[in-house]
Amino acid sequence: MILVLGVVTYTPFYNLKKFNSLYSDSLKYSVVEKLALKNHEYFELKKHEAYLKSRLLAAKSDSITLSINIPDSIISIEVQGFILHQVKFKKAKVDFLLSKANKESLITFIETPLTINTDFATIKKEPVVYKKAPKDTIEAAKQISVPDTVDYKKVMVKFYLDRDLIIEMKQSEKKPHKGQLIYNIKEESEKLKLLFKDLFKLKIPEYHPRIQIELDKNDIKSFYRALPNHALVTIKI
Amino acid sequence: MEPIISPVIHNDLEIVSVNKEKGLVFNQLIKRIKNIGQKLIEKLLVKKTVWILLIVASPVFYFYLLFFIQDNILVTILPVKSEYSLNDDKTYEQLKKNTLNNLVLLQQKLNRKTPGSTYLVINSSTNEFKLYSGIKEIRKGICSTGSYTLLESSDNKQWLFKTPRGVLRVQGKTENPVWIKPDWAFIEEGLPVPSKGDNSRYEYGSLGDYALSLGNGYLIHGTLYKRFLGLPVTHGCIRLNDEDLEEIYKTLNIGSKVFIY
Repeated sequence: MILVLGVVTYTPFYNLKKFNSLYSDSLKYSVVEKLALKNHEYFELKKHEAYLKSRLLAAKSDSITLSINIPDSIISIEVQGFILHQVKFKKAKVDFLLSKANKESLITFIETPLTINTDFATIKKEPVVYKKAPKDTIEAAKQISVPDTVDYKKVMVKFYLDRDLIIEMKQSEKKPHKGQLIYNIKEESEKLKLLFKDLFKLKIPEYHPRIQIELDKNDIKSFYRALPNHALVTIKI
Repeated sequence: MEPIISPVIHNDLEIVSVNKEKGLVFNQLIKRIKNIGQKLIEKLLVKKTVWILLIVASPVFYFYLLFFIQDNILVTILPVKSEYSLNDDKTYEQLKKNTLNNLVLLQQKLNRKTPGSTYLVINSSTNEFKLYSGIKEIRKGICSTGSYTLLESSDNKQWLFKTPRGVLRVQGKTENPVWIKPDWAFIEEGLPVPSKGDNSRYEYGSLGDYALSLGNGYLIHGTLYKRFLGLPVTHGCIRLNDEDLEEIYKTLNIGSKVFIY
């Protein structure tokens, strides 16, 4: 038990080191620039520059992309650089790995768009309703129905991106407690499974930094259903 | 308590009465011991339940603690304070100026992505639309978009009624449009499918006063079923009420962009 505690405590430090070495480029910045990046104001400017470059790269694709600006609390979907839908989110939590990372590495990390590998959601991406063609007009008359607009499902969406990042969107409206508890249990047991899988293989457990955002559920639905599979994501942290 | 028989009357009676008294006390004592014993057993059982719960719950708390530590341990890394200031050196001032100029150029490039003319934006998840001219919003309202119904005929043909997403353009504009009913319109109603040129294929008035074509059979048009506006009920087309449709028809031109998401 103590060993597991030790390993779990060490994992974030190990992954931070890995992140810093993976995304740093010794030739990218001159000595002068590296020194300048230590200045907070200059670092913020460079971050914003990286974010805009990333958005312009994403604009080259014809499909809808997701753009998250954490410092300004803005999330939007764009197509060819045009903002389709933009909202201010209420709460965001950024993993400590991203805030403690090396400045140069962070800029390199956000300079190009990320890609959504897979996603998990409590709502359907395409809520297809199957209908068998009626045999006659009498049967057709019985089939007439109005879509159910009662909104009872809690809305949560998780995007698993390349570069090991997870973006989680949760509804800001009051959640049904039972649903929230079951979701939390599922999530923790999934983490537990992965942890033990790595421990049994005598590997340092994987650690994926997360960004958690709270939004209105209609906005989450709009974003989730608008984004195609393997959509591009641009982030400013 | 029973009255004690006076010891003056009879010696044997005296012994009996004393014994009776002792017996009573003894019975009371036993009762008390039994009560205490029962209470102790109850407490022990409760304690056992608490211990069992603790043993079962402790791994859960342990793993929650593990993940809490994993998620928050990096906060112990203190930020390195830099005493260096950009204002100290002209080189750095130049770097900052270059970055700011670059930012302005990049933002201008992004701003140019917003169409300068009129365009329509449709949210098919919430069934809402917004009409713009440049960055100015002219009108907004509700519409109806695809129902996501998958219709399957008896010969296993399928049609999925969904509104396409992305950037489309207005390809044509029509006043008093006539709906040329496709096969699925008959199959959906349980009617036999007529031949291509048959009169029953032509329906007048059901598309409203105007229609804008987006290509591949998708239209923006009016509706007789105004109570369903705001709901996903169409076969892929976008339905609007009469006033909104007229404004959009008169504002958008052929070639105007329609963004659907």
